[in-house]
Amino acid sequence: MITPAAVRRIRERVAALLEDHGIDEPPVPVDKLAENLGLEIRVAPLRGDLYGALIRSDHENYIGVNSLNHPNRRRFTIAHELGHFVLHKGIKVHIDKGFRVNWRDDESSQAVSDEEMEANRFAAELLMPIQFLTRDIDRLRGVGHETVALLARKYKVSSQAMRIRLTGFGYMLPE
Amino acid sequence: MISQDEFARRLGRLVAERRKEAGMSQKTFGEALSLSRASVANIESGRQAVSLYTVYCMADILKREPAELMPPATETGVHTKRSAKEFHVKPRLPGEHLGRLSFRERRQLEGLSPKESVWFNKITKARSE
Repeated sequence: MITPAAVRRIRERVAALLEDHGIDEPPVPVDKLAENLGLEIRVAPLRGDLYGALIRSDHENYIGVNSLNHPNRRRFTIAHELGHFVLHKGIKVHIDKGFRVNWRDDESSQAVSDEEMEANRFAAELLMPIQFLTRDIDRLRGVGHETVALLARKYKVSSQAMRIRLTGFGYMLPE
Repeated sequence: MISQDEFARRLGRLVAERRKEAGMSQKTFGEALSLSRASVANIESGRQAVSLYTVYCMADILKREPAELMPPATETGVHTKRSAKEFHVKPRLPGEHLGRLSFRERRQLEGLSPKESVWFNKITKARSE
């Protein structure tokens, strides 16, 4: 579970990051942001459901991205790995393998899934910052399916991700 | 891959076939190659191995491509396309430049498939062993 306190903490970190790097409108340039934070983006193709990786060593930090993924998915991967980088200082290697990772038999499964949830939350907050979205939605008359598609394009995220985000804010009813 | 003896027998059979097609005796073929008739017979039966240079010389005399005297790769058990699995590529566990890894981190790296390991090595710019 991700606690409301954790969500607040993540939201504050993201807001500070956006402000520090002068980002005030969508789409959030996650690759630039990563570079500004000293993270090199490295790409290589792979067929399969491995999305990316975060590698942190004493002298270099970088994010690996599967170049065969859709651009929106690649942005999410970078944002997710940035989340681990910013929030979880102890992690040296993290591999983002989608749904296949099975930690059920592992003592640390709870810790892993907490970290995953936090990184996912960080990615959502970073790609679709609450202050940007509220501003955009205030200009709109209502939120419907076309608005979701429009906002998804503007923020360079998948429609699904945008729908989940808007549902979370109570702008839409869950399907 | 087949044995060296079996390879020599197959090559010899092909040489004999091509020589006969060219209407040449073992004796005249041998003379053109500066080899005795007995040597030609040994080569054709696979009792004597030949150098790649000799194969080219024989191709020149028979007016053939050298490959026409050699057994096709697939018939000798040569796999031209191997999967990464066969090579059993493991990611170089980046312990050297990352320091000590946690159990969880090691498990993640060990859980990579061969293809994923290749990808990981490309990303870390490590060479696969």
